[in-house]
This record gives sequence, structure tokens and C-alpha cells, in this order.
Amino acid sequence: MSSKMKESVETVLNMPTCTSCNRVISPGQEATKFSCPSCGEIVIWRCNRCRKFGRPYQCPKCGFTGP
Amino acid sequence: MSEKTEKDEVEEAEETKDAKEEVKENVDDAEVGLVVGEDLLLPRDTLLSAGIHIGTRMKTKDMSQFIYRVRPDGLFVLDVKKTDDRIRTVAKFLARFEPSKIAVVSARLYGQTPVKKFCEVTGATPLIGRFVPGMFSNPLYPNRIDAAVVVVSDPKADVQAVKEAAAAGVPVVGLCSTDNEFTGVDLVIPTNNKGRRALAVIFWLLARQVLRERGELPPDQNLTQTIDDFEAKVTKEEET
Repeated sequence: MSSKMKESVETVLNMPTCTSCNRVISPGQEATKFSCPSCGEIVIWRCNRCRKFGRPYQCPKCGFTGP
Repeated sequence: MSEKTEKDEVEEAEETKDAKEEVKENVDDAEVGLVVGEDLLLPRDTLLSAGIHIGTRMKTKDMSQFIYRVRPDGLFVLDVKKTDDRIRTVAKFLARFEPSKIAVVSARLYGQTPVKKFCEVTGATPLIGRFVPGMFSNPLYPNRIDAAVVVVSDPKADVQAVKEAAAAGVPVVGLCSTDNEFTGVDLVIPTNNKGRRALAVIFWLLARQVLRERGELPPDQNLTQTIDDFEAKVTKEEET
């Protein structure tokens, strides 16, 4: 894929990333999203692996740490 | 299998009762991680007499952050302040969802009455007793529930609901004791999830706080229902 095309795909497909591990969440994964339980302003994404292993996540705005 | 579960529940409840009495006698601020003058949702004595801080004799690495200390008899004690903070956070979180889209699950006997009452008060959907597989994940199941958030009274006992919520991409709020793991749970309330009184107090507090967050109840008012209404009643047959 040429660099120009790659760039255009990235701009069109804004893929969500897991708040815990920062990996891209592909469509069809058993991931979840919810607004930050504390401030409610940031959407937190958790991939299936991080949910399974209970990895902690942190809200970038208020600093709330879960689960 | 259900007989065994009920027997286990009764044993655990007795254990909690003993621990509760012991705590009543030797109640100390330092014991439960409280600082004098801190604001709690309920008076300290009410929380401690309900035994919401009493854990089990088992500890998981996940729950170690909420454990305050271990007693000489081997029971792990939870930090009441952290429980209080989490109830406030969870109430804020649940208040953002449409009431009918909140599913509250309890397979445990002692959790069923508190869950029913909680759902009556807040308008959530109760799922008590046996959780029928496919309730969240099977689109062909006629009684399927389209939940936006799931609350489980014990992630270990309600494992089917947690699994299906994970498959459906629904966030899960769990009441976790010291022996629970965080698998599939997105938000934890550290509490005693086996005691009859403890479950009643937690669901009552959660219901009151959710209504306050929604603005349906003024911040200085209580629910019309009491904690006793939320408590599972034990008949004489069950006691013997």
C-alpha cells in the first residue's frame, strides 16, 4: 500500500484503541465502550483481552482508575 | 448442585454473622481504614454492623487494592472508604443510562430480594434466579433483553451473565468480595457480597444514590423503603 493511500485510509477509518493496552480494536471484537464512570466526558474502550485479564484502565481526563 | 450452593450460602452467612459480632465489640476506626470526620453515605456504625467490610478468607491479586488488612482469624477486611467512593461512582455511572436498559442479575438467594427492590425503586430490569443462557447474546431468543449495562451481585455466581455481557459488548458492574477476580468486570464495588444484611445495605445505598444522581430524590432525603425492606427474609423452614 502506498504511503498516500495508507494515509487516506487512516483518516477515513478512525479506529478506536483500547484505553488499557493502546491496541487498535478491530470491528467484530468483543470489546466494550462506556463513558468514564467518574467524569462521564471521556469514552473508555476496553478490548476483549484487557477485559478477560482485568487489566486496569485510567481516564485521561479525571484520572479515575478501574475496574 | 443448588442444595450445595444454598448450604454454602448459609455457612458463609453464619461466618459473616460471627465476624460481624466480633467487629461490633472491637470496632475501631483504624480497623476499617476510616479517618475521623470523613463523610460516608450512611453512619459508620450502620455500615459496620451490616458487615459490608467483611471479606472472605481468600484473597485475589485483583482485589488486593481494596483490602485494608487481614484479621488474626484470617478474614480479609475491606476498606469502607473505598466502598463508599465506589458506590458514589457507580451511581453516577448508572444514572446516565435509561432505567429500563439496566439489567441487575442475582443468582444468589440472599441477593434476590435486594435486586427486586432495587429494580422497583430505580426502574431497572431484574434477572433473579437461574440466568437463562442467551438472554443477552441470542438474537433469536424471544425473551432476550437488550441491556445497556449489567449489574451482577457476584461475578463468580453470575458467570453466565458476565460472559454474555462480554460477548454483547455491554459494560458490567460487579459487587466483588475479596475472593473475586476482575474477569469480564468493568467496574467494581468492593463489598461483602454474601451477607444478607450487607447486600441489602449496598443495594439500598445504590438505589438511593442513583435517584439522587438522576435528580428524582433531593440530596438530603431518604427512600421511602427502609433497609429492612431490601433484606431477604428467612423463613423458619430455611433456618432449621
